[in-house]
Amino acid sequence: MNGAIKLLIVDDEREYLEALAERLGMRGFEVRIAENGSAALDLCVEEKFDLALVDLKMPGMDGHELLTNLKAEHRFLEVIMLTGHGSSGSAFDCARSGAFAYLPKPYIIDELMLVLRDAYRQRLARKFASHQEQLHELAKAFQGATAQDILRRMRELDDGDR
Amino acid sequence: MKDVLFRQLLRHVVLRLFFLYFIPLFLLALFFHVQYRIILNETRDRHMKALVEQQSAMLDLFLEERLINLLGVSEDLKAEFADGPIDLAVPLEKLRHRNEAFVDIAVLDLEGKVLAYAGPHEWLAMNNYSQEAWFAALREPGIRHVITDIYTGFRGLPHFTMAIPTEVGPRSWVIKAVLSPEIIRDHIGSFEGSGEVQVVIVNASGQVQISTSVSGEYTDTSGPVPPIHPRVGVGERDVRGDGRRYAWSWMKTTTWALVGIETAKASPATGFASGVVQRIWILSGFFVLLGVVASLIQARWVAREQWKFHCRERDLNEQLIQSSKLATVGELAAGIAHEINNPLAIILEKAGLVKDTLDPELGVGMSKERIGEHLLAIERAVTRCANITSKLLGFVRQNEEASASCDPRQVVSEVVDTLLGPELVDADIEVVRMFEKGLPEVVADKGQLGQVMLNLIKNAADATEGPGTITIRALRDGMWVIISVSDTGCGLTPEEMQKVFMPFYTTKDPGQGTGLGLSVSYRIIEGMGGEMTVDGAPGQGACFTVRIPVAGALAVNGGER
Repeated sequence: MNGAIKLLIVDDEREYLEALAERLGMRGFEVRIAENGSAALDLCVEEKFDLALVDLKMPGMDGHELLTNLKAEHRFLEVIMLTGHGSSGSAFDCARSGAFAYLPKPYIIDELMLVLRDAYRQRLARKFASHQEQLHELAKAFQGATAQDILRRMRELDDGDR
Repeated sequence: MKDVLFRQLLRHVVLRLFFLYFIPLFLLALFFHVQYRIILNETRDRHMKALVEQQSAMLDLFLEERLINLLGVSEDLKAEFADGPIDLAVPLEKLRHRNEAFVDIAVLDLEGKVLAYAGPHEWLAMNNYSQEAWFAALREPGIRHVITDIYTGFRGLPHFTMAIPTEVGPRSWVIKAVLSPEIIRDHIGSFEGSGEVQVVIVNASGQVQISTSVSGEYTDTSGPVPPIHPRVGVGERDVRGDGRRYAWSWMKTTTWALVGIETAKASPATGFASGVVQRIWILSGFFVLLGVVASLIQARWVAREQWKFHCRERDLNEQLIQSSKLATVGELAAGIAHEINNPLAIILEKAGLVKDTLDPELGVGMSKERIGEHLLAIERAVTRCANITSKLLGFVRQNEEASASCDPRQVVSEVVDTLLGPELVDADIEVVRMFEKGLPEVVADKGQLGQVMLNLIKNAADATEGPGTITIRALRDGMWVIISVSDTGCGLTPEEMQKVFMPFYTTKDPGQGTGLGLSVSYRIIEGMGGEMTVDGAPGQGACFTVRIPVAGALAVNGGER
């Protein structure tokens, strides 16, 4: 981590995608864009993202499916759902699948910034909690463990961070 | 348009009334009329027969009496026959005392020579009657008397002769009396006075013997010739083609027949002559006229009620179609909102981007070209929104000019690409269009056909869960264009298929559908003179087929549509 929050935006509207990416770029995010679900999944394999903005309605793999896939593979990635037309039902589905927020389009950028900030805080908090847990485990493991054991264990944990 | 339809309706009602009411009435009246005429004729025939029979009997009686008178004279004269000159003056006086009809009396020998005579024509005493037919007839064995036809004979006056043979010992004579027909004529005239019949006495060859009419003298042969059998009868006289009835009765004492001919006045065939009949005719004519007028008023009223009913039904139907259209739009609203929100989001982002460049805090400059690009993107997004709303309004608008014909290809394209397009893409439904080349236009309002197509395609999309295909086929079949919409969705059970066109029937969740779309589509297609059917099985998708008449085929198909 070099300070900038890494953000992935997934939407099938190219113009929207580019404009939003540019604006968030101005606000200090390191933004990558994907026009569909599978491209987004590919990007996530290449890079590690802190946050993701995902449009709910997309041809092919829709937002909900992408959300499920992302949450399954990237534990600490916070996903914010965007939608042009939402219902309480779809919002509930997304929340259950682990979305951090559900934001109807069009929205004001400040609103989005607040949600993004909160999401990032959540990510940090969860990561911190997870690290503490690991430390506890490590502490337990250290009792009577060799230095090699510890090193190996730390490396495993580091891998699991993604 | 209204006038033509109304007049058509009125004509139907009047015709129905005419066929159901007036024709049976007329037939019934005809039947009763004929029955009445038959009974009237029978009664009259019986009456005439009785009259004629009675009168002929009376005439027989009269002639018999005269014969008896003559016989009495012959008895009185028997002594004189034997002795010598016969004086007939006293017997004639006696006879004339009995009856005025006797004119003269004579006694002849068997050679026809006059032996004695009394009467006004003394010169007749020189006559010889041997050549007369009646004289010869009297010589026939078994003949007790002869009564002749009326003739003028030697004296030149109409008369008839009554003769009887008489014998005293071996010698024979003939007593002959001449009678005037005046008394009989008077007698006939007395009962003719009622005016119902004209009485004529004819002989065996149809010669009029006695008649009261001036023309009908004994030389007239125009009288009816009644058949010998039966002795008493009734028939139709067709000598002059006037169809008058007559009755006859042959007399016993002579070869005369008494014939009663109905007078023109009494004949019901010319019923108008009678005041009562005339009044009945006028009255019934008046009632028929009254009936016709009342019926026409009634027909107009019925037609107007039917017209009102028709208008109300049409209005209701239009309202229903419009309501269902609005309901469909409501269902479409979800997809449309998404479609509008997306460009709105673009506009917001682009505008925000430009605004950001002015924000000193962010401090990022931007070239004029880039700003221009962003503004163009905003314009594009606005156009997108405007397109969607105008298409939506175009679909809903009721006062849009109704078109007589439209191109199904264009209608389907508008529905699939514009109204449902994004929704179908999002639902991962592929729409396959298989349109026959050179597909003709159909007799349908563009808006209405669009509504039907929208309902069918939306229905197909709703029935498809997850990825699927909707196939729209259109081809020409003679005077029809057949458009079918089939899906790969859940299909229909036979029970569902029966109910699918019923109003308010829906398999969707509450709040998802009104159940009006298909029933209204069905009505719309029916209104176009076409038909709509459904086919399919559970799990195999459904196929809705619409048949609409080809534009321009109207004249060939008949004017009913």
